Amino acid sequence: MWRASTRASIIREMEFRANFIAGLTRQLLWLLVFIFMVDVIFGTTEQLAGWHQSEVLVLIGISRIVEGLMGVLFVQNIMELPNLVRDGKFDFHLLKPVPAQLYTAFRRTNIDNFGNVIAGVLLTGYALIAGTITPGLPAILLALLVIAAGITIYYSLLIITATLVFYIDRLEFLWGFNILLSEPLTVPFDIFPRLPRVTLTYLIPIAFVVFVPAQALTGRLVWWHTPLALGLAALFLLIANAVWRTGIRKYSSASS
Amino acid sequence: MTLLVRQISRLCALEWSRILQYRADAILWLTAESTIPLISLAIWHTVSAASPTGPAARDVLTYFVVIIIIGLTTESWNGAFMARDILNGDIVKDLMKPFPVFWRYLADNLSEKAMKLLFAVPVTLIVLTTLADRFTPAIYEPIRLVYFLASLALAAVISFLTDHLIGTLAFWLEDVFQIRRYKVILEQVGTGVLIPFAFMPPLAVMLLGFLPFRFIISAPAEILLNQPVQTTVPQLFIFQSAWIAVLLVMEFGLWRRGLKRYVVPGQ
Repeated sequence: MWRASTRASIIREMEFRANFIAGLTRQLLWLLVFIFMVDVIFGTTEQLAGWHQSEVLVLIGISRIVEGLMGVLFVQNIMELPNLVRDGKFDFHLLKPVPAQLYTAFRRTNIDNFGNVIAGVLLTGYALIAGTITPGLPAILLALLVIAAGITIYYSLLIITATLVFYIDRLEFLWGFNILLSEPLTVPFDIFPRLPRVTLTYLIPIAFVVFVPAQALTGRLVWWHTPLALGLAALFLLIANAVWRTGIRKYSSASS
Repeated sequence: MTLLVRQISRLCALEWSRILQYRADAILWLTAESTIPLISLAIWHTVSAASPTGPAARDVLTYFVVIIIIGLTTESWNGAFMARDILNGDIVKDLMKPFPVFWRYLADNLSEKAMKLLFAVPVTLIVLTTLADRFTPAIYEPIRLVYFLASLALAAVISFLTDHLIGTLAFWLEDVFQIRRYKVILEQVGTGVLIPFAFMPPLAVMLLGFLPFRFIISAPAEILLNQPVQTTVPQLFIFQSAWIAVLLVMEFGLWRRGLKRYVVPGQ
């Protein structure tokens, strides 16, 4: 089903090519903004909380890849849940022969976000070469493993919050919640004071989405953060599923 | 005039009652809207603490605390609603009402802002008064506060007009939302939220400093802190007023031309 949905998405995007290209250009512009910002920062100082310019660029590169991937796979779909529930269209999701949560989150592949992934890969490659950072194969594999765990945590946090729509009739804040979660991904968490840093690492563990993988690539990874990432990903996924199932029981159709 | 005031106050009352119903949503948005300035604060505070030159850490802290309030006061999102109403034809309902279409968007904007500021302003005032020694002393001078409030009012008008100018383009363009997304990028850089103008290289200040975005967020903060970047306080006021004049002419010119060619779809 996912393959068929991806194929349909590609066909749809290619029907509106100008829009697709405008989206890619926009993502490239965002990348240029980040590079400009890093340039200004390192025009003033040599280090940002112990991170050098090329290391910060690696982090930004990973953030583009991960945010792009999440955008392609599920973010946009989950954001549409409040509207689906309000319009009564969520009923059709419940009738599909696949788990409703999976269908809701992955029903459409938003390939217009793929520009971020490409830009991120190019930037990460450039930063690694320019900064003569040479992560070995184990470091790359560890980074990929933590990214997978981080994406699972992010997905779970979105699902947990989106489930609120089964209890309250308006949840426009879901977009705001996504901003709240995604904005800190582009900076080294070392710049934050202790309380927010600890909160974003252990309580709402979005540190594992970009920051910890960047630590893995730049040789800063604390070894026990890898099993912790996997454990937290499993825990949050379980919680998200439990919360979703409870929420579904509260759902009452808005359709006539 | 009395009629206009009565109309707008009645619309505000209606919108206020709607916002009250969804007050939790509005307050949660407030948290999300403060995220970018708070992250920028963390970045630039670290930079200023590590750098012997450039703005002091205290000024950076003051700047970002102030721009959270400026951002909440000047933000405008209703241009997107207007674009949607133009595209799907819903705007005809408002065109038939006995007051200008803009009043409804203005009332929605003012009411939601009031709800957010009701929570944000007391918290900021408590922080600014209890921790006064951590902030730039200039912000406690009464005359600066007067200048700041005047500049803030002008900034809110610029923001509203810029936002609606792009919304008006929906008379000609189907995908006006793509333009809005580009505007967000320019806004993030041009307002001084991502990078304060005080840190930017002179060439960037010159290029970005004349766009309207600086006069929506950075200018009121520069005036309150008495730290205008490559300009003076009177010049900032002159630029704000000039932008309002330009945007008013463009907005009403486009609106009139747009209405003349408007064909309502599906009605």
